[in-house]
Amino acid sequence: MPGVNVQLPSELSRLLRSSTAFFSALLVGIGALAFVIGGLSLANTMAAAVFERIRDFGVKRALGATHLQLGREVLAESLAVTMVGGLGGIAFARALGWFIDRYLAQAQQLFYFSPRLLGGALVFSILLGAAAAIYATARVVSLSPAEAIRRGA
Amino acid sequence: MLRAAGLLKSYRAPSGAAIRVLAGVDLAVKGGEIVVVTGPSGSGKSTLLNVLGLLEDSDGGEIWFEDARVSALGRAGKSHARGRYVGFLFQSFLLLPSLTALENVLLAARYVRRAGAAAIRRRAIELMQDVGMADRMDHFPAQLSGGEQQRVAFCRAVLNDPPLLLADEPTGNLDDANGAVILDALRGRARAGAAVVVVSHRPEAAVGASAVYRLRGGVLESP
Repeated sequence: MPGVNVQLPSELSRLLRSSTAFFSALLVGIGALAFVIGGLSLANTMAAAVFERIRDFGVKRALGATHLQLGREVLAESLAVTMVGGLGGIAFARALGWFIDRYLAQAQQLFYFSPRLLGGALVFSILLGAAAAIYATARVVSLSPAEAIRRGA
Repeated sequence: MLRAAGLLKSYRAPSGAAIRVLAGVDLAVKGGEIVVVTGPSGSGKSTLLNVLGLLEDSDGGEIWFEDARVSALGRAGKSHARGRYVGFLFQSFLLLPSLTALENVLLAARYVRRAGAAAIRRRAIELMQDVGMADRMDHFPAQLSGGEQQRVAFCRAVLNDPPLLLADEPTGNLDDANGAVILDALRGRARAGAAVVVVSHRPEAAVGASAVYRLRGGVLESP
C-alpha cells in the first residue's frame, strides 16, 4: 500500500539492540583508553615523586636507613596518596554523573556506578601506584648513598 | 675506632680511562682524636670520606669500625653500621627541605632508634639549645641561614652519639664566625671521646688536630 511503512516489532528491537551495542562498545573503548592514560599518569607521577627526592633518599641512607625501611616508607606514602586520590576521583565521578543525570539528561539515569566497578578502580589505582613507587625506590636504592646525593644535588 | 688499610678507588672518565683517586690509603683514628685531611680540589678528599663512611664502596682495601670489618658487609649491614657508628656533616648541609629544623635532627633517630621517642626528642632539643638554635626549631631549612643550617646538621650528626664523626668541608659554605662555631663543636665531640675526621682546605680546621694529612696522588702524606 503506497505511503505505508510497516516494521515488525522484532526488527525494531534488533535495531535498538545493535545501536545500544555500538554505544556500549564505544563507551568501553573510551573507558579503556582513560584507564590506560590514567594508569600511566598515575604510575609516572608516583615514580617522579620518588625520583625527585633522590637526594633525600641518599641522606636517609647516610643516616642508616636500610632499603627495606625506605621501601616501607615509600609504600605507606604511596598507599595513602593513591587511596585519597582514588576516593577523590570516585567522589568526583559520582558527582559529575549525578549532575549530568539530574540537569542534562532530564532525570534519566545515564550513569550507573556498580560497587564492583568502584572497588575495582580503587584497587587498580592503589596497586598501580604502589608498583610504580616500589619500582622507583628499587632504582634509587640501587645507587650508592653518595651517588644518590650527587645526582640529587 | 676507625681503621682503613689499602683503600683503592677509581672513577671512569668520559673517555673511558680510569682515574685513580685513592691509591692505597691507610688511616687510623682513635676515639678522642681529630684527624684533618687537606688537599686541593679534586684530589679525592670527599671520595675518601665517602668511602670511610660507607657511602660508596672502595675498589679495594679494608675498613674497620672498632673490631668490625665493615667493608666486608652487605648493603643492609653497611646501612646498620652507618646508623650505629657514623655521624656525617656535609658542606651543603643536606637538610630535608620539607622538615623543620627539629624534625631534621630527629630524622637521625628514625632508622636507628635506641631510646624512647620522648628521650630522643629531649636530647634533640638540648643539642639545639647548645648550639643556639632553641628559637629556630620550627623553622624550615629555607628559612635558616647557612650557619644555622650547618648547626642543625651538626645536631643531626651527633643525635645518636656516634663514635665516629666524618665532616666534609663543614665550614666550606660558612663565614668565619659560623665556621668557628662548627669547628669548636667538632672539637667538643672529640673531647667527649668521638673519633673525628675533617676534610677541609681551611687552615683553621687544623688547629688542635691530632694529625693533619695531605691527600696527594691518591695517598695520605704528612705535610
